[in-house]
Amino acid sequence: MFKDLSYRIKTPIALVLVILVATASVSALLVWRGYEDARQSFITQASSLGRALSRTLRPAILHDDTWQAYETLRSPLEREEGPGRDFVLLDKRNLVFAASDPRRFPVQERFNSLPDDFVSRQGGNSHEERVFEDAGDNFIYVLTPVLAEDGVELGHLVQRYDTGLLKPRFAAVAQGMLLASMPALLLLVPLGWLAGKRLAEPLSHLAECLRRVGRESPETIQCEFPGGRDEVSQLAHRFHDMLEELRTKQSLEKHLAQSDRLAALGRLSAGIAHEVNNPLGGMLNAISNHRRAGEVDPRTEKTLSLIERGLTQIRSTVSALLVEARLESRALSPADIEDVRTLIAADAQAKTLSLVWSNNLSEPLPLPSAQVRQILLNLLLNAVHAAPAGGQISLSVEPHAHELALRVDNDGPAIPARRREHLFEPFFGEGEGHGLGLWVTYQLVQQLNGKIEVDSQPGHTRFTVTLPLDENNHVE
Amino acid sequence: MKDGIDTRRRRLLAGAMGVAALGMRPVQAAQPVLFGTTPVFLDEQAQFLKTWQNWLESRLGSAVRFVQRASYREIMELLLAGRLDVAWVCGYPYVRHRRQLDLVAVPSYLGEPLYRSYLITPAEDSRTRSFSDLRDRVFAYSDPDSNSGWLVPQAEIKRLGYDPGRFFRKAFFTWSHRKVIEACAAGLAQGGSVDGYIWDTLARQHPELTRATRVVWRSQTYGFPPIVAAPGISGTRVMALREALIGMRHDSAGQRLLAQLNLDGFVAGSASLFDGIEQNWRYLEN
Repeated sequence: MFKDLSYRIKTPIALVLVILVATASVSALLVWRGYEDARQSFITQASSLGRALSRTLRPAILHDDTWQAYETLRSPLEREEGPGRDFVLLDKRNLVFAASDPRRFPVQERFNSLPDDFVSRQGGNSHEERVFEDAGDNFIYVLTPVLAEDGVELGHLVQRYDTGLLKPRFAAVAQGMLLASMPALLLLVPLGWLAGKRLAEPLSHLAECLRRVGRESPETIQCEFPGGRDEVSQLAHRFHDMLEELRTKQSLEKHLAQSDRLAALGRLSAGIAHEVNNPLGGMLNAISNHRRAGEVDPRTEKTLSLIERGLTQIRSTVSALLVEARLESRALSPADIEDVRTLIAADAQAKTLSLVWSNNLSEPLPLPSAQVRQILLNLLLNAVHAAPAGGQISLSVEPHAHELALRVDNDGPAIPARRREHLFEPFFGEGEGHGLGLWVTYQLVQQLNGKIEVDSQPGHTRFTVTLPLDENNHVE
Repeated sequence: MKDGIDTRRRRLLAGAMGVAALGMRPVQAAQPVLFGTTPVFLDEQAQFLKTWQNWLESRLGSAVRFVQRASYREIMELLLAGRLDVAWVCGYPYVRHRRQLDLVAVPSYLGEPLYRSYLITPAEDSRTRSFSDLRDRVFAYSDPDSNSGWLVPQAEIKRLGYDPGRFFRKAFFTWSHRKVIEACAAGLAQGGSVDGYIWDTLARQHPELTRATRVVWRSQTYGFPPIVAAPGISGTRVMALREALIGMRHDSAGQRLLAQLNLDGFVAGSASLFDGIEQNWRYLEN
């Protein structure tokens, strides 16, 4: 049962319990101590009363004056009347000489409440008062000898107190303790509870986070932990690392799967393109030969043109799909970037977009200009398309030591998640364009051994292309 | 009998002197009357004594001072030594010193100058019928100079055929009748002898005290504790005091005082009232 409880509950409960037990035991100890002190002072009081009374009783017992002894024994009771207190004067033979309550202790009867050997014990200390307590009969007896001038024992004064008399003192001590410990508890219990909660909080937070692993994707799990070097912090740290690794692994897998798919698609489309291109070339050649061969009647000419236009369209589509990499190209110069600007300006203006252009290229780079221009153009046309009317698109071209970074931003809506899964695949567009723009861009970037990344949030979508500046990119 | 004649003669003489003294008041006024009291009545009530003193002073025209002592014996010694003028004592010491003492007045209780001794026990004791039932028990006497609280029970025990000195297991004195009642009420003593007049008066004034006791036996009547004059006191003084005391019942203030004392008044009385006490005394002497 307790095992099933959360540490968030268990720890505060344990702390509160410890506080309660500690307070209770300290209180009990102090109450017991206070009771013992009260009892001791009670006995001390009784002893001094006994000494005073025994001096007063000396002449009475010496002169055999029972009445005087009785009046003396009554005197302490006259001040505060109350049950539970008895004073008995015993003579030398331990017979009752007089008693404050003669009905309970009749004159000349034996005094049976105390063991005889206790009363008449002989020894060095028989001249001192003695205390007798019998757990069984709830009385405290204080025995004081009545001595003659020369120290001869004339009798004994016995004070008998009901232990119930100590109860009010006990109650007073206990009440005092209770009153004192209540405010302490009122302060300590909430403090303990809070401390327990604080202690358990990181642990339960960690458990909560751990529970989410596997149910949710690692990207969405965001867990904040306070710093420190305690066990929970170490655990949290390890958890963070694990989560990070998991994230990397998943994104890697995803990326891998995507590139595999795109590579397969590339192979497939290239294969189809070659297979289509060969007969296509033949067919187009046949048409041109037929035209060159002689007269073609208008009706045939009309048919031939129709076939030629269709075949030309097929060829352009197929060549777009094929992404011809082996185009002859010169090195990329700053002017190429500016050309792209000119090309895009008309479309941007049509949508009244503001264009932010940041071209930091100052000298030619060993990159094929045609491919880079194509990449930039595709990305910018997409951006123009995605940006809302009156919005903004921007381009940043940043050469670094070993790579060139191209960044295209727009402030349009985010790319839907479903679309992002297949962003670089051909014909995945939603009706606009032929759906080959990003496919072609991807193929070009791949051919240049570069990377293309997309970061899309509502109001801001960014495509980043990095192209390495190495010898593998053949530039003439 | 010789005593009786003697007393009578002395009283006549004193009367004559008292008449003569009436004209000499200023001289008397110089000397306060020293009046000893004993627990034969409830002499522990200071307010009552003060009122009585004022009343007596207005009557006598001289200062009166009450003198109290712990026991009958001390008052008797002072009286016999002439250190007191008069004293209210028990019939028993009066009888023993009858030759030296003048009878001033005797209180009248229930119409007679007589009273009884009571044998009492704690109220819960319903078994005891007489002294013989109290043999070997604890007993409270009031004062060895008291008639009702000592002489009467001693004589009774002797009459029953026992030795009064060894009859009880233990006996003690409380030195006052009231305290005998308290001792029995508390159970300190299983029996006690007490002045019947005191018991009756307390039964009216403090019934809660007497209710805790039970009167087992009442003695025959004896002469009420008298007010007696010291040897050598002038007859005029004795006369004046007697007149004053006897006159208490004719005066409203005096009546109030008597009501407090639970007495009818004072009478001149005669020595023969105390013959019964003397007989007991003689009986015990033998």
